[in-house]
This record gives sequence, structure tokens and C-alpha cells, in this order.
Amino acid sequence: MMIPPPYSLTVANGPIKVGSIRILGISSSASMLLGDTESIRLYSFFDTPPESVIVGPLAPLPSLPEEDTNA
Amino acid sequence: MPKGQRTTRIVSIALNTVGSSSVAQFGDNNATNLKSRAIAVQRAVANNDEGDDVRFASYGLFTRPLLQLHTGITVGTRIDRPSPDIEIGCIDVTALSSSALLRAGCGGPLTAQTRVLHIRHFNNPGIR
Repeated sequence: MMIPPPYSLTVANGPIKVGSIRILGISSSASMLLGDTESIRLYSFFDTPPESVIVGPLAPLPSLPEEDTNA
Repeated sequence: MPKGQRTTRIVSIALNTVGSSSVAQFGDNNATNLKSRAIAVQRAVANNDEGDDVRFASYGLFTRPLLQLHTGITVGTRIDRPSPDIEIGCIDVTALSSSALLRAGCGGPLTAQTRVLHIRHFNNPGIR
């Protein structure tokens, strides 16, 4: 005998009407969905090791050695 | 195919860039699995030569397990009646990048992961 699950979800889908969409950017495991979905799992990692931290407001670019500039 | 199939109608789409494991989907799909890694070194001369450190295996970030949500509750889902269509006017998107998804339509489970790291040494005496 099948035991029904304790919780049940009834999905009543209404119509989806969208006029216009303007998006600049969707990035790093982001998503823009128009419609139904079952499950969503989004992960985003960003890890810079401490030794590459630059002390100071701006990150200076290394100056080019002299001989290259005359070439 | 997911239970709620729907017809998608779109008048116009302007899409500039879809890059690094991104997806622009118009219509239904079954499941989506996006994965993007990266390291991006940009180094002058490294003081500490740790050997070959530009490999994914060198960093724990790329092997860290993905956390899963376990509620321990089972939910029975039922779609009530045939789903009406999806109607969209115009979509104007400049860029999709690093495991991004733009979908107009129904879909099954979506999983997306992005890992970066981004090392930047500079060999100036004043800066470590």
C-alpha cells in the first residue's frame, strides 16, 4: 500500500505575459527564469589567496623596463 | 519532460554576449547543469616559487564539495491543469557570463557552479 507523502503541493499555473525586459548582465551562477522550474541550486566561489592582496587604494601596474620603451 | 509543458511565444530578442558556460534557452528543457572554473593568474615575478601552482588540483577551492539542502521532508507535487502559454514582448540582455542561465519556458532541476581564484602578484619592493 503506497503511503502518500506528508506534504503535497498543488501547482495552479496562471498565464505569464511579460511586456519587455532589459537586463545589463547575468553573471556568476545567476539565472533569469520566465516559466516553471522544479529545483534550483546555484553556487559561486571566489577566493584570492592572501599573498596576492595589494596594500593601497589602487592596484599599480608594474612599470615597463627602459629598453622596451625605445624598441 | 517536466510535468508542466508550456508553449513560449517571444516577439523579439536582443542578446549581445553569451560566454563561459552560460545558456540562453527559449522553450522547455529537462535539466540544466552549468559548471565554470577559472584561475586567472596575472603575475610579474613571484617571490615564492611554489612550483607548478597554476593547476586546479593545487587549490582546495576547486575540490570543495557543494553543500546540499536536506530538509528530510518529501513533498508530493501535482500540476493542477494544463498550463497556459508564456507570452513575452521583447527581451534585451547585454551579457550572460560564468554559468548564467536565461530561460523563457519551463525546466527541470537547475544546478550551476562558478569557482574563480584570481591570483595577482606584483614584484615591487613596496608590495608583497
